[in-house]
Amino acid sequence: MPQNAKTPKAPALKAVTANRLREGDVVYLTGSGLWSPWLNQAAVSDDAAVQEALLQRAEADVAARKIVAPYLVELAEVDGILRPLSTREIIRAAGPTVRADYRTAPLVA
Amino acid sequence: MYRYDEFDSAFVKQRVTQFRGQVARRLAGELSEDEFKPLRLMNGLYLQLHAYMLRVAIPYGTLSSRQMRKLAHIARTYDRGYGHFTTRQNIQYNWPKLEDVPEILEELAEVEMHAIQTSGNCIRNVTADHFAGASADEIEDPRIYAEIIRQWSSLHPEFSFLPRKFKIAITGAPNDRAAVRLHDIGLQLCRNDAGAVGFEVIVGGGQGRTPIIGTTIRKFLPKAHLLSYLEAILRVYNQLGRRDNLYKARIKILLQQTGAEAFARQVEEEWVHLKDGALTLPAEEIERIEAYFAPPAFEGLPPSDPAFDVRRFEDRDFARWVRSNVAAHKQSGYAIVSISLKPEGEAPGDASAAQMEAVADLAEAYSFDEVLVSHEQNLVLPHVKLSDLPKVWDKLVAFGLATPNIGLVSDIIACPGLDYCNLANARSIPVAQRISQRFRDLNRQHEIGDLKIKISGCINACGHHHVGHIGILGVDKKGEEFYQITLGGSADENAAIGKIVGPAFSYDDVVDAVDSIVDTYLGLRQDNEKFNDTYARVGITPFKEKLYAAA
Repeated sequence: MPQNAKTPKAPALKAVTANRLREGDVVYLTGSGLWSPWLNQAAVSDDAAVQEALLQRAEADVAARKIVAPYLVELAEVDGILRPLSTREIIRAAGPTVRADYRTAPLVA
Repeated sequence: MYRYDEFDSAFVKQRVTQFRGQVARRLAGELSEDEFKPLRLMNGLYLQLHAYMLRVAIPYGTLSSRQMRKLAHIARTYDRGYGHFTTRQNIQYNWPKLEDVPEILEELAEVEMHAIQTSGNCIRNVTADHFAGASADEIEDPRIYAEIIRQWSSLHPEFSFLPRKFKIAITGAPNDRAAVRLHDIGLQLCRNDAGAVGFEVIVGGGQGRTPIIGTTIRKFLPKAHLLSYLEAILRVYNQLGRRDNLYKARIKILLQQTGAEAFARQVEEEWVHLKDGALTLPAEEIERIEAYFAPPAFEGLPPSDPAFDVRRFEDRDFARWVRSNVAAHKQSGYAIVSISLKPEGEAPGDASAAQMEAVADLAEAYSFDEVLVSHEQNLVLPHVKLSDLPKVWDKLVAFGLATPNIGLVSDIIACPGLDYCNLANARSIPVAQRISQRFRDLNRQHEIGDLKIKISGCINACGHHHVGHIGILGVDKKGEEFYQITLGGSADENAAIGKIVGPAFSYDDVVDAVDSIVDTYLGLRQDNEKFNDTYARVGITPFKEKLYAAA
């Protein structure tokens, strides 16, 4: 029996986020192994093994001094648009909600 | 104003050089993030929700116009054109690049500033009354002693790795504007029966998840013993403060667990070894520092000014601003001007580079080159001639800095919250923005009168919610932002911790809840009764009944 059949909840879609070491900008790991400010370009998976592999690639880029503090962020995909589940990660992806000119990136690139 | 001596300059420059090397080694891969993190934190550099954040110390909240212009320059050159003044009288930049930080620190050093001890488990920037040197109720300028403490505590080898961070506040006035009862150590300048000036020493106050009002452990400490006594307190704390549990590591917990009397006795026992030793402050040394804070060359002026009176009579907007934002000065013919950083719909404490420069210009032209930052996230021009007030106001209006709301419902303290902070559970700033929009009618704000709303985005209480007349605490409920409301808190000489009014409100409902509380107050207040007096008289029930009636 596949493992996810035991849990009623579908496994969450996840991507890896981090900050660029030099600049501090929030970035997401893409399928081609680059780091993008656009969440929608992130490589995502609902498979724990694939997620772990994404995190491993990120750790290699920590060692390569490209990024710091990588971690997995939970997402939902609605009509082809990736959106974080938590308010914290929504704000992290899009920038502060307090003033339009503080925004870092729209959720949709 | 204090100017660096050779020792100050040397250690600040040395630190810039060290940090430049550390950043270079980090970027070259010679230091890992784990190795680098404590080094960057020792220089006020955090990694926050979106980016790095640099916290720059503003000792006891005092700036010259040159320093303020430098802060503006840094905002414009290395950040996104603005800075955020904090409840610790500091400034934070939300978007610096790591590779630029050594340059920023170098520029700060040029104007005798730095970011040392703005993070970490050490003695942080000493805060003081934001009306220091100007208010009529002051016994002495508290910044003389704040500066002495700064010199003693800067790079103090014994106290660089305390159990937890350590905050000292000092006021020279009986009307406490520095929240001295809510700090690890609060110092209140006072006179003893013989008329000598010294300090009441208050220990173990604080907010966070365990809010506690500080306890006076010594009613009168002669000035000469200030440093030896502080050192004795810090020694006891450093030895006995808990290091096993982050949440129980502050001195307030040690004091509670030891008992105030026993703690005071331990301090006295430690003090025996330190008293009358090398830390004794000679009168000449106090005088030397005092000279830096000597009153400026005030003119002998009458207590009123015809041009000022005419403008006040003819211009209602000006008159309203004077009523809320101008305070009495100790010197005849002068006034203290508070500059609100809380315009309707904006982030409390934020100032653009252009605004900072406008304030610097005003300080230079009209306030003896001095600006103060208040812990309520506003700015102060401490020494303005009554006759200059119309000119000052005109310029403030032009730069969006003349909101007449000091001490009123929209003069809200708010922490950065979930919009910027890694620790936050909920947003603070947008709640403050929405409250200020709800109460946009300034006449109504003036009718409501003094009312302090304080908002924190998590239990760490950087937004001082425990001591707001109305306190708002953001919590996370299953991924959603909720807000718990407390009533009756106070940070002044009648310090009190607010009481939770009931179940938390959603992000959408919290502004209505505040409105309901204000309405209840207005319906119940007698004459010009202040919010906390009404609350003390009627209790929490009427507020509760109205708030939860619909539910």
